[in-house]
Amino acid sequence: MLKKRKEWIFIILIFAASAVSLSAESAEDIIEKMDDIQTFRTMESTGKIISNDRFGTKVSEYISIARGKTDFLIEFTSLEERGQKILRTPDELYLFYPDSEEIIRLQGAALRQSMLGSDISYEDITEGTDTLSRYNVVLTGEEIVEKNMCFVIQMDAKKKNIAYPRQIVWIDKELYIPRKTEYYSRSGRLLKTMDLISFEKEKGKIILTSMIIRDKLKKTSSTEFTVDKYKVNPPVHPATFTLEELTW
Amino acid sequence: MKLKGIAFRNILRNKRRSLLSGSAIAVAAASIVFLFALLEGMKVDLADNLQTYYSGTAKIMHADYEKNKKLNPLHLTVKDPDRITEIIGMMDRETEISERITFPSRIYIGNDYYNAMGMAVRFPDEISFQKIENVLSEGRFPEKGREAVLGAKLASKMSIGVGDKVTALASTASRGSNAMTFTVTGLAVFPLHELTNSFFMIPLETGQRFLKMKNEVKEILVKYKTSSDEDGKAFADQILQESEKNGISGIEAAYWKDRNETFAMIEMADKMYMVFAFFFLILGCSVVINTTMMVIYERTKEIGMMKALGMKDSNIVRLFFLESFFIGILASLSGVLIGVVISMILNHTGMNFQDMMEDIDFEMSTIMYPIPTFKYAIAIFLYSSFIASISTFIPTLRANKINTVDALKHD
Repeated sequence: MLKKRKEWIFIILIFAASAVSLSAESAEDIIEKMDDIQTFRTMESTGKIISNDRFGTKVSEYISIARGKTDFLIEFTSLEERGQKILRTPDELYLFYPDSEEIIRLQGAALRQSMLGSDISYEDITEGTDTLSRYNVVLTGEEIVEKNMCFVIQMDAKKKNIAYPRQIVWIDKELYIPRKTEYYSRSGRLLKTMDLISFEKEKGKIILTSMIIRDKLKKTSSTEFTVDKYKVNPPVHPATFTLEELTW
Repeated sequence: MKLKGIAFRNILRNKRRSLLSGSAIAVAAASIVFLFALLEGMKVDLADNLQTYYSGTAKIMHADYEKNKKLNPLHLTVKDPDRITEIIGMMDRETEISERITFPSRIYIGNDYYNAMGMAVRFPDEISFQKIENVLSEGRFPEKGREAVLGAKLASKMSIGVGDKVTALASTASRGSNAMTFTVTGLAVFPLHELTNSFFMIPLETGQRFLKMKNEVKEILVKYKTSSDEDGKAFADQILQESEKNGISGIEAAYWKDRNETFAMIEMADKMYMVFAFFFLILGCSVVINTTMMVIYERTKEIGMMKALGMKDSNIVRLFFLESFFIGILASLSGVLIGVVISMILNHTGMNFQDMMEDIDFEMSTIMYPIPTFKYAIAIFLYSSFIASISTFIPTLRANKINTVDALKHD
């Protein structure tokens, strides 16, 4: 009788362990969910980039259009930068300036250059949501960030030409949004941090509406990136994300 | 009087040996004269280049620019530069003025990019300020609009020439960025390798539009003659005071030597060279010391005879000292003259360091002109004569210690 009971307990334990392992998420699953929850078929938004440094505050306004995980176009509307555009396609990043007859293609380390003198790089703003195509990810633990339990995931770049060789991201366990991200150089030096300030839920997805980026190589500087208005899944002309359209 | 005559006769007794010992000092003196002439040439060249291309005799900038310069704060500008130029023009000193914007930039050609330094200037002003007409190797200077003249090496790196177009990307005074496309109208070979290798020049008004500056410049360079550093600094202060009197504030006027560590290093090298010169001469004198010792040994019998005939010990020492002294004087004089002549020839022809300075970004011209100075020639003559005399004094004392009887027996 006792022997039979032991056998049952053993079987139940095996089932319980299997159930736990099946329900536990891998780092890839978490990242995929994080990307999916922020990816819209199309989205239009307007917002501001507010840079603070020792010289004061600078505000740049923009309009952006995104399609899927990789296509992204941002056009600056504030007086000083009016007409400047950044286009991100699956493989490339292009800059258009009204005073230039040429479109500038950025690649490699150039993607880490400061955009409009802010703490945000071209890569940061147009990074896209196809994280797994660019990074190998490992779940390293769980931590609380601002009272939210988060997965801690270390992401190492798959290729050398990725702007940040390593990122550590704290992903909300409940909402699957990045609460905090740290960006590292190849040598392991902390380059930047990103802290999420606010977000909005829309049709089962989440839009990050305000975040602060700090360049750790600069003293006393920070940049707030805000989304003030947005339109989810608006019709977008197929040619929007082409070089021909960029110069218009 | 007789001793001097005997000394001269002894020098001529063995001309080859006298020539050998003298030539060591002469070579040392000639080398030192040439080195100081080269250093003087470098100082004059460096001072001219720094004042022409970087700092003026005085540079007017935004008061906060210098302490933030590592951040490339293009927004810290000098406002209403023409008014300041007008104020300087009314001051009681002849000046040359250049309003400029220098800015780091990246030039994009296809998928490649090249780091470059842009310089926005008024080309007519630069004709007198930097003798710009001498640097053009091909084409013409920009006249207006989006035209640029490129350093010849920069153009060669990018494989472009006159008539081609380049797009430059730079940070702007509004703390953003901008890119502009320029047509290359000319190529320039500047005296400085750094400029030929990485600079491009555009019209000032175009630069102001490109960098989002409205009637602003990054700096005003003022060139003027000075009687001393104090005089130079005083005039820079006067510019600042006059500007403030006319309601212009938030600027500073820096005297060029206060902003250039390179020149301070060269001035320090001047003093270091004096120490090197000392060791150089000691090395030259070692030959004289050797030959003096050898002469005393060879002429031991003669010394014994002179002593036996009643010549005082002190006179014997004086005789040998005078021999070395005359050799030292003649060698120093001829060495200094040779050094001056070589320096004068090279001052005329120039010394081309182009290959050597290929990869060095230094504010020195690729062709150097040594400048021999009377002051240094005299100083080196006295210096080398003195050291040559002093250094031979010790071996001559040996003549004093020679015993008369032993000396007469010496073979």
